[in-house]
Amino acid sequence: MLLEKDNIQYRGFHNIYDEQGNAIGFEIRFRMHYYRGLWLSQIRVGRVIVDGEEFLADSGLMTWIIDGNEYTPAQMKQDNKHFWEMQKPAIIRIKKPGGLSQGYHDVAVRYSFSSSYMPPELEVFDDSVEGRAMMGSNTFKKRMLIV
Amino acid sequence: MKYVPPKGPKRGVSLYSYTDMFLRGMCIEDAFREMHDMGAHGVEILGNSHIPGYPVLTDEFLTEWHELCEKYEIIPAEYGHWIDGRMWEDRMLSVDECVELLENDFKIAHALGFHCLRTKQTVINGVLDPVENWRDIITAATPAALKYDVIMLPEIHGPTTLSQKMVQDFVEYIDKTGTKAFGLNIDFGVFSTRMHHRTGSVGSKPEELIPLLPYVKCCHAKFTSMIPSDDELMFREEWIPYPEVLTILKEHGWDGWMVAEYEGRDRDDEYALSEALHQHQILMKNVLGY
Repeated sequence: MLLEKDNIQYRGFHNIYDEQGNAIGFEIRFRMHYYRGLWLSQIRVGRVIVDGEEFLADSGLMTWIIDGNEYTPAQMKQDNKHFWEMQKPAIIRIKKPGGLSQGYHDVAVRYSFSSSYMPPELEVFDDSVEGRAMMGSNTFKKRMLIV
Repeated sequence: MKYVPPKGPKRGVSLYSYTDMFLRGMCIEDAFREMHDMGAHGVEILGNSHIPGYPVLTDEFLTEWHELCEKYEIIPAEYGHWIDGRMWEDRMLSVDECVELLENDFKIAHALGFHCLRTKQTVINGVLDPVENWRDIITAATPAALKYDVIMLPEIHGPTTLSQKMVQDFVEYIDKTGTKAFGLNIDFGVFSTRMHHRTGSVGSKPEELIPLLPYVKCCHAKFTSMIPSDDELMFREEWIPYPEVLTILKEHGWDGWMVAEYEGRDRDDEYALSEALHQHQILMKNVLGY
């Protein structure tokens, strides 16, 4: 399977619909930038920002689908049995009545993780600010079209 | 003719070098093909990175792994894994939790044919000293390690130096316990002559390796920048004194794998990555003579 060089994958970006065909939100397909997979409890989920609109991790509007299982960020924090593999992008699902309008959108995903073999002082994460996380940037951005 | 590994320092590759390619869908066979081209027969994989289905070892992967090793004449040299002591946001892992994670990796590594494990411990500071109870964790995991015939090797990695107390503590633990389940992995980055960006210090002298050799079971042949050299070696690593280090390993009769770990800035470029891997293997081959 070919994955894109950017962390936010163009392939997999779309609105989601209920059974009546109403758009109820959208999905972002996202692969990690780290060189090893992560236990879910290691992941520090941050906000998603689309065209300036912020969807916070604890807003109840966000879930992550990893290897087919859907988790809230709070559930991920408590789960050290499941694992996010390098080659299996996560799907970040956001509830938003009406979905995203046709056209371009500026999408940003913020997240980080703990890495216990690195100095603890590097292990900072503040998703209210761009770029404050270990291993460089915590913000991944892409401008994408939705149909 | 079946490949038989020679005694002495041997050339291999850590699949870590291919990180950017793996993140874009590369598979193990892609890497093995290139290793075979280069005569680099030892492989390091990272459990958390390269095993589809991890932390479960599937029958499908197990079968494929052994078939690929046979086909490309690859010897399992080292299995990298982690004690993620800070996997919970609010507390450290207990000793029992660490052992449970370790034992799962021991089982997987053993089934895949690995004896040496590069075991990353939880660290507490900027010079990478391990958690204070590391002895308790290693001791508690030892029966399982012996059962699965694996040896845990903390990686001595810059900015740690070979003269740092941590290294002496590891050696003392091995001497005192006589353990067969714990040793050292040396990352050649510890010999870097370039100042470290965080600590401002430079690496150890190659000869500091000599007294440690009985404890060293595997090496990470770290490299970041290959440069041409006008002599018979053809290439040099810009900052790491490869000829001196490899000559010490060879002349002191050290026997084990040196797995290449490329950390160049251009490793997300396929051509640059393959070229750097080839240059590095040529340097090692020209120093060793094989």
